[in-house]
Amino acid sequence: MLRLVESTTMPISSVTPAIVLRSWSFGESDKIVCFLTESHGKVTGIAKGAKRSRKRFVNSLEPFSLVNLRFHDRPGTSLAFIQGCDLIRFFKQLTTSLEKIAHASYLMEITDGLSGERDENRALFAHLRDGLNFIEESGTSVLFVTFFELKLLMLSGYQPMLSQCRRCGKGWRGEGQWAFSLRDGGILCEGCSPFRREVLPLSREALGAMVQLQRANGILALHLSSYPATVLRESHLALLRFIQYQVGRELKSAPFLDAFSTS
Amino acid sequence: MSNYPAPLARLIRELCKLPGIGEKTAARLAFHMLKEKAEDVQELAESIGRLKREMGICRTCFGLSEIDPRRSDGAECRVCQDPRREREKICVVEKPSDMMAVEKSQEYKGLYHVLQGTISPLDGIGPEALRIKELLERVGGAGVREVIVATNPTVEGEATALYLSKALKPLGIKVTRIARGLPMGGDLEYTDAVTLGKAFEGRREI
Ligand SMILES: [Zn+2]
Ligand SMILES: [Zn+2]
Repeated sequence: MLRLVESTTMPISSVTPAIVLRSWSFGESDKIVCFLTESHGKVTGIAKGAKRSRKRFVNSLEPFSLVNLRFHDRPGTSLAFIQGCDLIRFFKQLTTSLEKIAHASYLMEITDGLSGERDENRALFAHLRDGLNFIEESGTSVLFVTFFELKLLMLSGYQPMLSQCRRCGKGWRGEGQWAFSLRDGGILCEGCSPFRREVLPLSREALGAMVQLQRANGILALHLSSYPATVLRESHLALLRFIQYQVGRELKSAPFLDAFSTS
Repeated sequence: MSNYPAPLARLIRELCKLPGIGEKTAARLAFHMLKEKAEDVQELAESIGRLKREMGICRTCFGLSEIDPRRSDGAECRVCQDPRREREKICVVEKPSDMMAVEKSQEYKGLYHVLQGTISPLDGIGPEALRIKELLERVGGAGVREVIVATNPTVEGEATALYLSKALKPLGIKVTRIARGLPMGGDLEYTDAVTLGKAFEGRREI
């Protein structure tokens, strides 16, 4: 009988691998931490005593950390209670250059912006983990960022239509000047783009690169593709605008990609 | 709180705004002051008032300083004015309380520079928002040979340290970063992997 009472009043804990997206101080001794988890989507919780306690949370609440998160929900609030957080992997190389910090921060911010609270999405979690791993081991490039953005948009349900005109269905290889429409989430042909205000002109080369990258299997396939730097930059900037449109605000880390890039 | 007479309630409300003070503690403090001699309470009120009037930011290192009423751009802090400090060393910290912490260790005899923040891509804080330009001006002047970067071992602290190293090296300045190690009284068994790894990296001959 006692056991039954206990099981109905004790909060149920969940344990899941997670990546720390960001954390900030709360009051004198606590921290609020936002995670992308493998099995519960985005989880935001409070880590009591995290600013003081050496043992419980040390080094496991810093952005970019891959951790094993234990948390439970509390009645009347969406803020979870973080019971424990054990470091699985700290991406050590990510903090060895400004370029890597800027890129990893950007991956965090766009993934945060496009993912939902408590919305299980294992593929999205794996994508972010693979992305951090790629920067850790291979460094950064516009090609990588563009690939990451395209797959993130696909996995989070915002995949832009790039193979044909969103309005009339004309194939992307067709004649004329193409444009990307933020509102339509895809491309418009020369005949259809005058009907929309928020469009970005898009070169055929950039469009071709994005169509190919959208079909690429994984990050590892990237070394097989080569595109001129200007084409990749154009693609990345169009996707950045689209992501900002979906998130509904300017991305704070975006200017740092340029400012801290060595190439 | 509505049960208290108005002046008492007002004080309790103000005390509650302080960090770590709940309504119970606030009420206890307020009742304590009520019992105290008027001069003592006046002294407390006066020192709180003077805090904001007389404290300012050092015009050289941006640490905490007493305000010099004769100058509009503020005074220099005690450390900057002290002729016994080693002027060829500047220790860079994020905030004034970090400077106080290093001072407490009594290990360091050089000067300071307080950045008033850290570079943080996730918060959109770039180098131009910090006192980095002023640091470069100071270092560009005569006599500085070493800059010791004592930002926190966080992503933002590392980003700031990397930026400073890049900006200072071309000036021919030695740039060092404080070591990250085990806390005194620590135990290898209970030390997290990142700290332990860093402690090995930062090992030195004995
Ligand atoms: Zn069309
Ligand atoms: Zn000073």
